[in-house]
Amino acid sequence: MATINVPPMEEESQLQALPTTESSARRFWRRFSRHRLAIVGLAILLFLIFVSIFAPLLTPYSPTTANLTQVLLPPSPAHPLGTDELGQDVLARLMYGGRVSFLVGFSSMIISTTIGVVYGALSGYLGGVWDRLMMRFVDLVMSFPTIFLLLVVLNLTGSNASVGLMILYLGLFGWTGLARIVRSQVLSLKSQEYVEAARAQGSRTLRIVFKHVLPGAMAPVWVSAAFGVAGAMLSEASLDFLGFGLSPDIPSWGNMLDSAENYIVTHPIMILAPGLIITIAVVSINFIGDALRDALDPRSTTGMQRIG
Amino acid sequence: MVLKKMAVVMASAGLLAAGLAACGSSPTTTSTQSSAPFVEALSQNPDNLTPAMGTLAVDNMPLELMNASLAYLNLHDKWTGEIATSWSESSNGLTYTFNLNPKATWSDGKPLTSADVVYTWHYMTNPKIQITYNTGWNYVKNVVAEGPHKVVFTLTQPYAPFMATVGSSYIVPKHIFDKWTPSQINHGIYTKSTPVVAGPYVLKSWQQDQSLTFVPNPHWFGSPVHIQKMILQIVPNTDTQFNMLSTGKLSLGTIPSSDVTQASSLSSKYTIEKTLQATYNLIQLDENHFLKDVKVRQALDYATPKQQIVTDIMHGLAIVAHGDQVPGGYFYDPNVPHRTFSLTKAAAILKADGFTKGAGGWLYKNGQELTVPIWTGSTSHSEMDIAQVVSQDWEKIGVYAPVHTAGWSIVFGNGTPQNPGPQVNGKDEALIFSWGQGVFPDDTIDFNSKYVPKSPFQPSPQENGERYVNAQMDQLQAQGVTLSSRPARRKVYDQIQKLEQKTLPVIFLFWYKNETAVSKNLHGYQQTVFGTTPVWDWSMQ
Amino acid sequence: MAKYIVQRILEAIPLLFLVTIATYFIMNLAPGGPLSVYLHNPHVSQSQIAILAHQLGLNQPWYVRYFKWLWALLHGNWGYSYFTGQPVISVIAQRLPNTLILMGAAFIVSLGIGLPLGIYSATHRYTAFDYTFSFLSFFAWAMPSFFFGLLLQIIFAVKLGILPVAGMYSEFYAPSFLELLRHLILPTAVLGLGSLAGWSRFMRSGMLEVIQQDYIRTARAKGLKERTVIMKHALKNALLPIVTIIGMDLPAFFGGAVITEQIFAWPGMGRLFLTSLNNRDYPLQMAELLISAALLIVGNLLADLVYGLLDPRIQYN
Repeated sequence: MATINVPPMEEESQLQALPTTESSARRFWRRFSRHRLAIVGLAILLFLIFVSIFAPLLTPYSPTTANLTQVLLPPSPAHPLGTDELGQDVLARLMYGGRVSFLVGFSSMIISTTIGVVYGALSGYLGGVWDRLMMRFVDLVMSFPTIFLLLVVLNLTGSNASVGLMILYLGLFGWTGLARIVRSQVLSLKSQEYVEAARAQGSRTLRIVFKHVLPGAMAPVWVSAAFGVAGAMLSEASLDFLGFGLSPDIPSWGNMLDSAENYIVTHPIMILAPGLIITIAVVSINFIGDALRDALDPRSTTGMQRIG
Repeated sequence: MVLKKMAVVMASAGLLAAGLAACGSSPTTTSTQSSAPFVEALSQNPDNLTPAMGTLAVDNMPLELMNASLAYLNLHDKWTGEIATSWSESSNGLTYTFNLNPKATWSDGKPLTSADVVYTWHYMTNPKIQITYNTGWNYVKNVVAEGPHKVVFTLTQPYAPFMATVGSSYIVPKHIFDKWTPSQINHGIYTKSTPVVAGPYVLKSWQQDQSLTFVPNPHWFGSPVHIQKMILQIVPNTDTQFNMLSTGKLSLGTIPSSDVTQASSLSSKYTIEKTLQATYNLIQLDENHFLKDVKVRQALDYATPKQQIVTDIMHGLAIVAHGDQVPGGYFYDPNVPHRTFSLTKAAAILKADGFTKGAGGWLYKNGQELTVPIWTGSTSHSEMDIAQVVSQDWEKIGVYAPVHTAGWSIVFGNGTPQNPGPQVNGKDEALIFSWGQGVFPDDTIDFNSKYVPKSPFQPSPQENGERYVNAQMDQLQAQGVTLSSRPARRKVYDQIQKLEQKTLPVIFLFWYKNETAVSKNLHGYQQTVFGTTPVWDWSMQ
Repeated sequence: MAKYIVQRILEAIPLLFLVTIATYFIMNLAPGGPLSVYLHNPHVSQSQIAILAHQLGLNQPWYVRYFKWLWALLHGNWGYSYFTGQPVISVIAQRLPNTLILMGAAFIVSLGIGLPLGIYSATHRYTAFDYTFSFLSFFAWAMPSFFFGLLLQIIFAVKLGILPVAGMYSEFYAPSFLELLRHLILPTAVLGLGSLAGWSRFMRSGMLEVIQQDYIRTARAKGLKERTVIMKHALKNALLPIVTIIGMDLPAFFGGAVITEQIFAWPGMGRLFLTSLNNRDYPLQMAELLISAALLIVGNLLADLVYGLLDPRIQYN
């Protein structure tokens, strides 16, 4: 990266820390809620998560029980979105599919965020040779298109990845961008007085990083986490579509889209329903991410990383 | 041979257009030469167009267009001369004598003679050349040219499928291949330039992953062709293929079973023909642990809803299979009994066999859970649907049957010692795929004990992945290929089919019917289970 | 400036070197290692495999093998496809230009439409256009590209019949530039949509931030025409973060290419990669990983150079 001399921005430090006091929490909420779309997004997201968690109470159908006497039925009161090629209720699969998509999205985000934060913070704090080595490794990982790496690793597994493995892989290949951001945050923070003071008092390196430096660098982390969920959900769906995703009997939105492909003309609802739901879920999360960025880290260029 | 199996799998998964077993006898009298090109979609880029070196079903169509064999099977199941004008078989079944057409010529103008046929024998049996399909040639003791237009094959033992294997192999040009080392041939030097061929068409261009274009071979010695341009366009996605049919872009196309519900939308531009295919779909049960027990296998057979799969997943584009001989064919035995779907019967068999319900609601015997994972290819929607339905019914009787999908090369592959493929991991596994051994009725490579993989990593033909060993079967199969009288052979194959029903670790699911959309502009095209009318009968308007 | 360019290029070389090591490492993790595919072939005997292993130097330590491999690589010997026997380099050479055409088209469209849209939206803030644009761009950004691709194919090629369903050239006419353009429209739209939406959003927010700065207010106060203010003063500064974003988004073009090429039967690298995965064709996979990484490194280098050109504050030492 080129060396860039950006003039220090005074107002930034006020915004950076996540709200810890009453007044900054209120300020955060004021800035966040200015984005009406983010509020709508939050509401939709909570609704979708609620529906997928309570799916067993909301639908009488199992998402994985084939019923070949009820194949490809059009929408009706009994099946509001009809049935698929195995006679499974499309609405029920949509509800249960949310569980898989959200589980994959949130869990892999937690993994990638954890790695990204720890890695970036260590690299930035240690500095010198360590920093250079660690950043070279980031450069290396980022030199490969993420989807190629994911596909190669999934192909090595030999058969469909389980949900757990899918989460792990998406997490393992999604942290590099965040590591760079956190590192530069830490670099600019570690010369500040309170960190210097802690060092003078003889605190241990790790303690300084996690107690004093990281909290100040967390703003972009929250933003990146929000977009990370959305990106992982889209990635999982794309991998399902390419035949390298979850086992076909797992009701995920990606698998629904994949198997609906052949029915696009005769039963368009089979492809439109999961396609639109995943779009709406991702849009909602991106609305939130956008508002978070505005409220916490307005100058950053963090956004959702698509793999395809 | 594993790759060959894959090829057939893909063929029947509806991914590729009808393979052309060149055929037909009555040359049409049409003289008008139409100019519209013929367009067909292939689901993959052909891997190798050097004769006998490819592994994919999509290689068939381009190879058919370019090549000629001594004889071919016509639409009415009768052998017809192509390079040969006549042939005779000695009474002991050990020699075949072919008289070649003196007009036979290569596409570079050089004459095609007996020397080329002799060379083809050397080519097919050269261990340094990576031939992938040379079934039958191992029975050939030698090939001798008697003058430029006469060849005599001597066999090591009588071999009934001689015409279906050796007699229909493509002849390769000696004067071209002689110049190359085996390594050059293995690395595809033949297709780098314009291949010299003896068939009705020559390859004009091959845009990788895009299209192959063929134009008439000016030196073709058979019936003249009418279509001046044949285009095979490569379209990987079946849905895209169907969309191309919808727009009338293709002259010919197979409709995937999952698209059958929307096939009627094609009726303005196409006639839809349904034909039985010589390809069946099966569940292979690898005999490793509980699956060695014939009772367990029979219970699983009872618990497999074949009729429902045919009606609701294949949408009627199939008929239930009871064995590996083409229904209605000469060697098909209609009297083989079969097991109709019954979960109660299945459960009762397992109970009588000593299985009891245990943890998780699954069946156990001697403290071990009855687990049969079901594997199938990740690119085949209908097979993935079948796997899910079968899994569900097996689980209803307490057999734990998780579904796994992966690329075909992984499903059939060896994997690593740490992570071996399902066929070689020593566990009970069920594989769903389609298969046609190509040479009916001989099924030696499938069920003979010689073809059981000896060790997981032994590089040898190992089609008997289910590890079925039965001395009676071995003996019957040996009889089947050596007897020369057809009725006598039929008796042997009747016995084989009855034995299969009793003991084979295979659940036959169904025979495929192809639904082919034939453009209303394409004339002279017909298909039966044996193949299609020959390309020189086709014309475009 | 020249020094800066040289320095960046010199930095890219060790990275490329690292990429070759990583690729080699990943592919040697592959099940069964480099010879496993031969095990499927009934015509390759155990003794031939032993010979091959010797030829490939599999009985030597990994670093010796690596350097041998690298040496061959640098001499243009990329090995042969396990599946077709063809030289890897010619297999790649046949597909790479097609992918570059598709990616180039998507890139140009994303920039050419995305950036002006963003600027227009920023300078017409709180108008109906701005709201509509914001809303739609969010949707476009979030839509799975295969879903969008299948929809476009059905609507424009099947229902309306105004664009080709798939392929790169029509089978009925001689290949021409016009034919290529017609076939490019749908795949370009699918491949470019995500980046178009993303970049236009960042352009909008970058522009908004810049036009609130003092020097823009000063320029306006001096009575300069609004158009001049925007194009001459604001744009250059607003472009800076976009360049970073574009560099970061380049990998997505590869992912998009895998999906788009599959749906629209485009004969490129993405489809080849899927085929090589399904065939366990390791030499091809390895070559594709290398080429894509090299392209990304060059792409990022270009992005850095553009950044350097645009940013007066950059230090060239």
